[in-house]
Amino acid sequence: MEPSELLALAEEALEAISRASDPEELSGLASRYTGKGSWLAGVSHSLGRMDPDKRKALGAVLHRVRSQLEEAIATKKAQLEASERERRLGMERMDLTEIISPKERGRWHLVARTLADLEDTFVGMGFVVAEGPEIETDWYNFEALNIPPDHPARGMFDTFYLKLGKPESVMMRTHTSPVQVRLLEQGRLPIYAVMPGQCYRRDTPDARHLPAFHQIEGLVVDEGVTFGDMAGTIEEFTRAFFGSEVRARLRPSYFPFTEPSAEFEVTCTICSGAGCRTCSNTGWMELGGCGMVHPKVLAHAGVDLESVSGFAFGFGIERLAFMRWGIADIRVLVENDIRFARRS
Amino acid sequence: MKVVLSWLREFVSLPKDPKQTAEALDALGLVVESLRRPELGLNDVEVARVVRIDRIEGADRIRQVTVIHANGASRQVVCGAWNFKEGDLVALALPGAILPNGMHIEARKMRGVRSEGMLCSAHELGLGSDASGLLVLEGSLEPGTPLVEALSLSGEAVFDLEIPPNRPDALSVLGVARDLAAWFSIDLALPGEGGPRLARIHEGSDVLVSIEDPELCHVLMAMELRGVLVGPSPGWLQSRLSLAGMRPIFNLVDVSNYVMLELGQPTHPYDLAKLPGAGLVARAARPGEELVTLDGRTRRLGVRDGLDRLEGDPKECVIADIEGLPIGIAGVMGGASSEISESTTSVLMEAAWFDPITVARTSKRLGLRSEASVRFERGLDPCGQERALARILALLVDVHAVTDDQEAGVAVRRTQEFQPTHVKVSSDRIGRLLGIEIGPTRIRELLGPLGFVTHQPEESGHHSGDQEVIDVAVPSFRPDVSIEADIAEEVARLWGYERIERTTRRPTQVGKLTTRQKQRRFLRDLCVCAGAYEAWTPSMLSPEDHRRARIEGPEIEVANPLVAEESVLRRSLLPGILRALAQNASRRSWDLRLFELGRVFSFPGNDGILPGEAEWLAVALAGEKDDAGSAARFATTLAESTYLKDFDLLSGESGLSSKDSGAQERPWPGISFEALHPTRRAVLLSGDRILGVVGEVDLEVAEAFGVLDAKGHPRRIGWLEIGLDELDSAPRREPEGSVPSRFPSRDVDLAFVLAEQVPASALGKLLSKEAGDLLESIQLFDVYRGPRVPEGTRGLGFRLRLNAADHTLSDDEVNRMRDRLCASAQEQLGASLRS
Repeated sequence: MEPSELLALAEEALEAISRASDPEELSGLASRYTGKGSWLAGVSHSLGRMDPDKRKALGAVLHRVRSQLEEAIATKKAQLEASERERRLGMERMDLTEIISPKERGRWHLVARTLADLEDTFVGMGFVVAEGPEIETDWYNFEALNIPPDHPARGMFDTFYLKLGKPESVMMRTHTSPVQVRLLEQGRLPIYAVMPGQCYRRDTPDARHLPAFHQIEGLVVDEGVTFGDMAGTIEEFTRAFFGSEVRARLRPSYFPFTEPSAEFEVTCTICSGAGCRTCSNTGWMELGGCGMVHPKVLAHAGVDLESVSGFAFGFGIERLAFMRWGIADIRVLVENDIRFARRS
Repeated sequence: MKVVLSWLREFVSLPKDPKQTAEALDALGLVVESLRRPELGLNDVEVARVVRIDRIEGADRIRQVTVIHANGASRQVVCGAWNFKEGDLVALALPGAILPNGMHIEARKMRGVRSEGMLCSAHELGLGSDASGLLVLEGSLEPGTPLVEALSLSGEAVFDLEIPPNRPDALSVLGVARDLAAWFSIDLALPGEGGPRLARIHEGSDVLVSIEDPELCHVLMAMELRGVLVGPSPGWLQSRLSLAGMRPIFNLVDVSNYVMLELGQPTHPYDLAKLPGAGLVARAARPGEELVTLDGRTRRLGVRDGLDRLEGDPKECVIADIEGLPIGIAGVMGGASSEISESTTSVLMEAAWFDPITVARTSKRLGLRSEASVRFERGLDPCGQERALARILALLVDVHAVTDDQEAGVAVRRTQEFQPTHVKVSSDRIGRLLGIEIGPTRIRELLGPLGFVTHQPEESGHHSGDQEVIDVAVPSFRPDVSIEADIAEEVARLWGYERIERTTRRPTQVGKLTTRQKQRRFLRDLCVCAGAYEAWTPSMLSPEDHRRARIEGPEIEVANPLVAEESVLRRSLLPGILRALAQNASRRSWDLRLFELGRVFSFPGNDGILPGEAEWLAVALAGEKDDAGSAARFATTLAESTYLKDFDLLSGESGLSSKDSGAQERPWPGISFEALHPTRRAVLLSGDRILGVVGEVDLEVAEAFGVLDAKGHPRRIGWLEIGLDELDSAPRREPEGSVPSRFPSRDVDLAFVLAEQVPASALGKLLSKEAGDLLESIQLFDVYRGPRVPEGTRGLGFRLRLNAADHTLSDDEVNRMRDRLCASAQEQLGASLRS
């Protein structure tokens, strides 16, 4: 056995390995040329019987040839695996933009979303959220709120009455204020609460009115509560809800259940106060009403007027949705048109 | 209320820029809804004199008018109005003018005749509502004078104010001026007061007034005027009224209206010649009494809704003549029989104070609201009648309706002398309520200009605690003020709401949502994840909606519905949602899922007075492949994700009724069980408590509501309805603390044949129970219906994964368990293994 024979064999083997086209063929070649029964293994085996000089020379060549072949096999193997992976990836290609009729995701109603945002804001300010019935008696909806029968302020509310009990004794609440009365009645002071809910007024639906609508009211009753506290609380809420650049301002108004009373306006959210059509160029948008709780309302609930005072505020949710998203006609909120819902 | 700036200026000297006045009005709570500058848009409008009117050949609606205007130049204009004659002064808009209504004026040809401008009506000029003819100008004006100058409109402004209901005094120029004077700390002047003509009003004339029902009318005055010359009012008066939004009629009526706008006191003129004598009586209407009002309609009085008067019903007030016949509805509208006309020569002018509530009630009942009734309703100044009559007399002399030696006999009847309300206030308490530092002196300074008379009781000055006490006498024109808080509002108004320092106040409590409030949010998210959109449907439905949804029982009726479609309270969410689906289908949106969280009503409720209100979640699955199965899957998801304990579906036709016959009463009347497909519905249970229903809306019901698919067939709608009260109180599964087994688990697959009548869940429950502690999980993985199982049965494949906490299960153990499961299934439910 001469080294040249070995080298010739190595050449033949390298050639075969380089031509191998799939992993099976390659592993066949590997065992043929370097495996246990291979000619190379035979030579290796016969080394022991050779004389030391020859063994040394041949051994060196043998070692080189073996490592050469093994390296070639490993390289080829990696190549074949890479191209196999390439092929497989090609076959598994997916166009992730081919989405046939994606599953619908559904949406909360805009009013519910707005209410939840409001609740979160007030909860963050330390308020709890209270609720009450949508159908009320005259007492809770009017009388306890300092609106006795025939009070001119009843003209402010177009009321839906039910054919229950005496005529006009049971009605669909015209505001969320009855919940204030119910809270006060429970007699647990102090009160820091907001009261969201659906209310009803006999308004013919138009772009700005719905016979059913939502309000949220706030009530704070505690020792030494001032008008300044009310203005500050409204301002704090306004910034938290609309953004720190939004301001609130108060101007005198009238509500039977508060005295002094105020209307509050916030920086127009459409033009950021610069003046636009929506705010009639004033830079302000009317949001709601507020005031110091009328002594008669507190007295009805048995609150000690000498030490305790309070304030209340309230506003409409639909109007807020209008302000936030520029919904020009709020009737769209009750039409349940899926095309609107999908976009909302 | 529209308030004219030049009118206000007669009472107070206001800043030049109307915007400053507008800001003051806003700050005072007399909110400016709009500010109009009438001179804007009147550039290029001039006074012109009509010199010739010619026919246009072939035109019978328009005429050719020749006018002269600036520097005697003549101009030819085509005009369609007919209310003027040669020699009249009119308003000419020249080409290039842009009128207040946005109209561009250009020279153009009509019927071959060139028109170089336009002659304008008051309406076109934004000076009033009269569009019936040209604005014909009064007095001696030089043609070519700019109209703004001719009508003194330079710097004029009209504020449209929103007057709060507690401020009857501010429904007048005087009242608004008083607030402004106080705000700007300037004097208030009362025009026309104290003049010599006031003296002509005297009592003891032969005019008779009487009040039969003192509670309805506190003051009644009548002023007799003879030799009245009825005719059009002068231009300035017409212009004022027009700018304030009232239509000029003729002098007598115009002056009455003018004084109402100026002083807030309505008056009513009667044609004396049409009355049996110079006298007026205020009395309660006799039930059923009739009167033709100025608008020509016959009004029945003293009755309600066409019924005879019920005992205890409130009275209505009329004005009658001296023979007792009604000639007007007090404070609301006069009668037609004594209406003023252009031939009137003698007049009886009424000024009164009527009970506000009576006027309000009558005007509401009759659906008659007028400028006068609004003022009476809110409460007039009980001391303002005489001043109003004096002002009317003065103005009538000014406009030459009566001569200045007119003898005006006035009769006065008062049933109640005005006593001012006194309010004791403490500056300390007011300061504490408002959160400002304020002393008694400052309070008195602020209140004085508003007409409040204040003084500090001197005798109590020695007591340190009483130094803050101020006695406030409320003026007669502020009936709204009666307690300290009212005074506090006046103080705050003039102090300036915006000047009150804002403070923050934090509660010591922790703000949080209730379980229910959190639950709602969770349910909304759950529905949204299922691709459902939240609907908001009406709380009021029609009885027909309930009938179509097979909801029986008495309705809770709305006494005064807006429309018949919304005349009863809903007792279920189903009709509203089906209506919403139908509406969407009509807009070609057929495949959708909707849900709603809302209240349904039932009567009687818990307290016997109010209806019961219960909150429900309803989910309608009307997607392309939806049916009862989708709803049942959703129900299971809901039960799983809310950790309901012992959740179950009681399926089968008998469902609810079989539960009904048991001990548990139906907890709600409005549930939609009857509207569901009789063989595709189930009751949702937690243990033995009913939570709601699940199934598919009966196709007949879907059809009745018009819920159709794309092909026009009734739509299959999976339906889930669950009561939030029931859901809240249902027991929850607690998290299990035990550590899962470390040993390998084993699966047992069992394919049963089970009769259709037996619910799959019964078999599942049985298998779970039998597997006991060894059960890791159980799953129904296959349902087969077809020829390979006997008719009336189906194949059900269950996979049970078994495991023991303390050892690896042996084959033997698993086999024994399998035999036990099969035996029990066979024995208890007749379920055999599929061969």
